[in-house]
Amino acid sequence: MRIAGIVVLGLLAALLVWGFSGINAIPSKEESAKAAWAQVLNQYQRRADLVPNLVATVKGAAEFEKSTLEAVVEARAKVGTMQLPPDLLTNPEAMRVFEANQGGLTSALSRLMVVVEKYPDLKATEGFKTLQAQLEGTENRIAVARKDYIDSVRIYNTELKTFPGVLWKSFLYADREPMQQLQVEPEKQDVPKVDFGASGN
Amino acid sequence: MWSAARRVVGLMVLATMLAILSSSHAAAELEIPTLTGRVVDKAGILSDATEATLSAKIAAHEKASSDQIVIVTLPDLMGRPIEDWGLMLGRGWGIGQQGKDNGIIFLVAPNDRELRIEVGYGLEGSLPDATANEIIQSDVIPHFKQGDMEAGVIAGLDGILAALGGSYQPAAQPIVGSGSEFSNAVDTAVPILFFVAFAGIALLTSLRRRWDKKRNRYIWYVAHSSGSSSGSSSFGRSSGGFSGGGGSFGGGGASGKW
Repeated sequence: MRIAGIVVLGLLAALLVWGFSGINAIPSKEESAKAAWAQVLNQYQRRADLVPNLVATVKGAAEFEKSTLEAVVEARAKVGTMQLPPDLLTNPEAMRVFEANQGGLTSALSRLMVVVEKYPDLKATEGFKTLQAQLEGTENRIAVARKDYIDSVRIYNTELKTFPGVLWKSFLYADREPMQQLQVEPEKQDVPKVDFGASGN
Repeated sequence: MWSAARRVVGLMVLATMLAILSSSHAAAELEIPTLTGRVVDKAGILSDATEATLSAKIAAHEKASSDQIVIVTLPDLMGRPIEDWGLMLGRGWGIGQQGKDNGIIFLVAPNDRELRIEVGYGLEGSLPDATANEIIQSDVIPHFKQGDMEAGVIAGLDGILAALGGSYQPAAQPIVGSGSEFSNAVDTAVPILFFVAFAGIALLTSLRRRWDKKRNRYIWYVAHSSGSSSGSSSFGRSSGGFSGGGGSFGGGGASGKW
């Protein structure tokens, strides 16, 4: 029986070592999720910075549909004046507002891009082609940044809820809350309809 | 007694296996082709001679600048957006040098009639989205439309190399004036971007050093590795000569259809 006792002790020791090696897992996974979020904000800012230029270029086109442009300007202003609370990542309500505002700009911009199809002269200009490529690239960067954030939040939230992270959370990191997850590209689910007949909206 | 010991040992093995399993979340994703060289012609649209020429050009550029470029042709996108493929291949292979993220994936899907230039973080300054789009629209697609895939790929690589060297001029420019205007803008923008990038790196390095002193964590390092952390090492890296340097991608670049 002595051998069995030694083996059991060894097993316990191995478990302890394994558990202790995870002591920094929660803070380090939290930091990578925060870094991924910073990248999301960075790419949204990049898009917001493109909008004034885009609006100015489109405005130059003769009689460009006013309501579409106004919707973009309005959505951009909403995003620009939005206050981000410090607990944004763990605050569902603040996150919902953030997503709604950014989503509003996304759909206003895609609507604008659809309407532009009616203005071939504008579409052919060098300035507009450049802006369009930049906007497409930025939307793709946003999608990538969101995906990275989703992945790292999944890892962080899992660490909080699974062994041995759940023990460390109760001992040392009791104030850590799971971070809010993002919807997977909601903007890609509702593709704007191309309707050249109704120009009212 | 021995059977009890054996049972305990068995339990220990099981516990170890569980620990290993829980620490490495298996990533069951699309199969990434093996990185067989600088040109991975899965769709088989390039002759051996062309492939060799392209590889030699890329190798010469890599030697001079350490930028890594890989040309990939895929027979089937499996219903996924081409942007997903560009990112998966770039990150999966780790194209570009680690820390510099200076990789480019030039991806062509002849059967889906789509192509993409995926640009790593570190080259977004010298090959901005608008330039990548220009290369696709005015250098590559005209050849593809005529069915000359090889000429399109060659023109595309030449465009990419010219842009990285700071001397890109769109091929078929309908308006004479705007071409030089555009390259003038590039000429002035490149040194400024270099300066900004340099200042940014210096700032980040000093910040990181301060952070490291305060608490032993790598905050901004994670942002670069977060995407490739989920199993990049398991993807098929080649053993013969060429392999990715560990660079990462953030979705920069441009796509096109013909």
